[in-house]
Amino acid sequence: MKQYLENLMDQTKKLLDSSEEFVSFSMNGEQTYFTRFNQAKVRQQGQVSQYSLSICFALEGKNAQYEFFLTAQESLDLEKISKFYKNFKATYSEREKDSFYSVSTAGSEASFVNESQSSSFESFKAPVQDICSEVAGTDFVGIYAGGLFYRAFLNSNGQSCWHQIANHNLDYCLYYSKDKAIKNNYSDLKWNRDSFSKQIEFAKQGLKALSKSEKKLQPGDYRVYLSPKAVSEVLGIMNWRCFSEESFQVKESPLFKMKEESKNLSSLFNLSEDYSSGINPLFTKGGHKVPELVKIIDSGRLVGSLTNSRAAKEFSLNMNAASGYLTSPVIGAGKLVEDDILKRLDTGVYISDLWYTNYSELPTCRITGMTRFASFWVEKGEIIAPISVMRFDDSVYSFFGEQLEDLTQQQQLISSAGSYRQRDLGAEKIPGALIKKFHFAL
Amino acid sequence: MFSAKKVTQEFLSVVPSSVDYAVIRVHDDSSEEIVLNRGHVHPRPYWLSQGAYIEVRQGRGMAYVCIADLSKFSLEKAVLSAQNLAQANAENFLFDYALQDKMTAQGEYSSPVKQNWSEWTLKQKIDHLKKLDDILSKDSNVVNRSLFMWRKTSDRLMVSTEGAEIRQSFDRILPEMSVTLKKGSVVATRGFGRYGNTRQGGLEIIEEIGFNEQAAQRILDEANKLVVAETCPSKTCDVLIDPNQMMLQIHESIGHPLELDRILGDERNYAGTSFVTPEMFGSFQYGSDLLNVTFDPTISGQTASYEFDDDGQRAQKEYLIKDGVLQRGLGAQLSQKRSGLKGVANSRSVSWNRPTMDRMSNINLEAGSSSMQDMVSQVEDGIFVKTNTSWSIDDSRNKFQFGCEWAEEIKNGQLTGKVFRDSGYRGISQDFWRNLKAVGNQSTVEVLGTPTCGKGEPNQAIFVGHSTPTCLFSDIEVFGGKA
Repeated sequence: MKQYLENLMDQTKKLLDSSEEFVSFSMNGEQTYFTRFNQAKVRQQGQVSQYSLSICFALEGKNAQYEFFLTAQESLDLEKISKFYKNFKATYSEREKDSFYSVSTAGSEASFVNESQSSSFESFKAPVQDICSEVAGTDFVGIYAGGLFYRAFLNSNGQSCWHQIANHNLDYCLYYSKDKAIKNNYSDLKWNRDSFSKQIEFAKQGLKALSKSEKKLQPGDYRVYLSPKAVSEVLGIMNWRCFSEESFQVKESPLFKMKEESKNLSSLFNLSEDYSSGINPLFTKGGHKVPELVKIIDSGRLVGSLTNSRAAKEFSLNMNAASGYLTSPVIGAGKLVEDDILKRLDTGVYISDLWYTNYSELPTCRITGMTRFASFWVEKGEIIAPISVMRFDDSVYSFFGEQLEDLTQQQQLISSAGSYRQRDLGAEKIPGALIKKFHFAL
Repeated sequence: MFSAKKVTQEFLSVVPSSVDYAVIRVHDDSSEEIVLNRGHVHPRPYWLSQGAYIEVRQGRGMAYVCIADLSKFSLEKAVLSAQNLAQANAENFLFDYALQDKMTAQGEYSSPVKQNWSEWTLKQKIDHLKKLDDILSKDSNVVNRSLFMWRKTSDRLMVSTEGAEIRQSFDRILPEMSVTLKKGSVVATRGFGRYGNTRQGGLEIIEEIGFNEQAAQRILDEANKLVVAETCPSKTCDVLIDPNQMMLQIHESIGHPLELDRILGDERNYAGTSFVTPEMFGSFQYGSDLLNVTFDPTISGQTASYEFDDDGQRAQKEYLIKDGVLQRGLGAQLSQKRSGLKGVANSRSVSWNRPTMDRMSNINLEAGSSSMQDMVSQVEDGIFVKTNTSWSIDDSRNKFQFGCEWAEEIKNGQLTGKVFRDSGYRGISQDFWRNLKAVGNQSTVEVLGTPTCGKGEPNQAIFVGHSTPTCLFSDIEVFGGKA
């Protein structure tokens, strides 16, 4: 596909009327096997091959963008590109100059290749039989997605960036009954049945704790432990608006008081965008190189934000991110040892999963959401009973602020299972959090 | 030149006789968006999506292959891959796919378009947004303003080895604008419809829904009121809910819990399950006897109207809840067979790269008999809320909490004009709908819809419609901000 795109760029350059004109490609592709499970059986299965090509034509400050799915047949793809180019020229006079246009015009010196895995697509078919064997007899539900990701950027000045990676990602639950389940994720570059088998056995052990009678809690303030997955869910909603420079500039970031009123989180809280895992490409859709590390919150203080190339132009800042969203976030570890979690929690709620978070008040970064799957009432360091689902409603400034007691030493690597339009390419490293006071509203 | 008809003909010619059943859904979809952020045109790509979803059933098994290369060679390869995959895992299937009816219908559907999107030039579209933006920009406290007009088309041709041939053509438009003001440390945003005004049709929608200078002036005036308003008081009281918030309430606490695939457990790892269980159908008192809710994909111009679902079943209006009693679920023919429950024709897919599943289409709350004045006059102490800004509900679709952009005080049977910011209310679905006290008449109905209903593994965000009147509820817990 890399060679195909380079040839297509060569052919596209021949379409241009003058050397003043510029064209760039940004490609986002995948070959994926999907298998959906319910009751430990296959519900749906299939494969998706898609290569979405975004083309930008530019001339004297004006530009136009087009996007389509490559057929990988050069004459057909070139026919579409030619049609788009004609549209660009025909509508050129109607288009406005774009002061914030920010596609890389660098040449071949800015080229970049990362091809960390070259497995054949066929090799991602195998795990379905393994999964069905390992989970037989359980109430297993979830999605397996395995295959290859491709990201590319090319421009008419000769820059060519390529990123290729592959993984197996199984996102699943083992259900006990009704809404009680152990939620887990198995993700790796290579499928390892033994590792998966061990994870499933561990999950089966966890089901025993769900067999106790459910405890109903009353609304109020509770001491809680949030597992890494629960912290990840909170970070997920914060990722919408909290960290982008654009949101800060237009006063819509729920953390704008950290910037404008020197409000801080706990000194234990550290957050950065960290691309060092190599999962995400080190270049943006616009062909710019991104730094491997951007610190956002350091010892509770806001020290950075995510500035994409467009925002950098609009607000006269330096670009440091592909977008205004974290794609490889890392929350710094604390001192809480895994084996001491229940002991340190003492009496309170162990929350393994949160769900459907949303802002309930933007200026105070107050967030609401639900407990889900497996959360437990703990007394004197012992699990007493699973709880019925509870709605929390509390401010990040409180539970990641003065109420944050500690974070776990161990950070969990959580791969994204998202697949709207195409599979997400992202993973995060998140610790669990021990919180002195957390408010349940319903 | 792309020809869906030619693709389907070639598909039928390459399906081997050893295949039990095969179907192809060819998409020729596009989208175009004109965006103006803080007065600058923000170029967005013209998006073209041509590809095919191919499904093969073989013995007990099924598999799909999704491709953009629609050459005869690629189609043949896709059919064989799907056949092999279906056979390979056939013994592991949850049910026998032979259960599912084969697609045999023939027919057509097109969105009702009076004025085609192309009748305005690019410059005319930009100029329309600039005209509205000029109004939003004339206030020194404005810190952000954003406007867009979005058009999405989807031409789908479905053909099966059992003689089906269904062509459906959808044309949808969504205009939107919002403005944010800051005074002191208070920030307030007011939007036009918060993505709730999606409809099928052409540019006539811009005029029909009033996406004009008056609307821009109104949202700027309302943002100015919000930015100096008190935060909403916390109390339990009557709440009068505008259609723009009702649509979300219907969506989250009636639409999703009635989806049969959720009840069958397919969504338990992602979107969730449901508090509704199979034995509730036919007898469960879902709400007060004023509550009547329909599945109705037959309304001309509503966002999710269609003639056939994407499994080829002909769609018709059905009552989901009648006089407050639960009648049937939102499940297509396959879910109906799996569950033994009554359903509707709602098997849908967002595009050629995703399989079908049970979705909402237009889920509408039928008009009642109360005028707006009747409903307001019933309220001694309450609030009137508009426009959703935050949404959250548990995985069984029971404990919800919704935030609203606009709240207004009602005292002694009158709207006092006192506005509250940062308002919200919370409750439990089945208690909430039983507290339905009055349903607005036809004069209060708005036909709304959104493109962002998310569900499924792999994930899909799809268009859904909700037509609803203004409704009055008693004993609701409302709350405000703490800033």
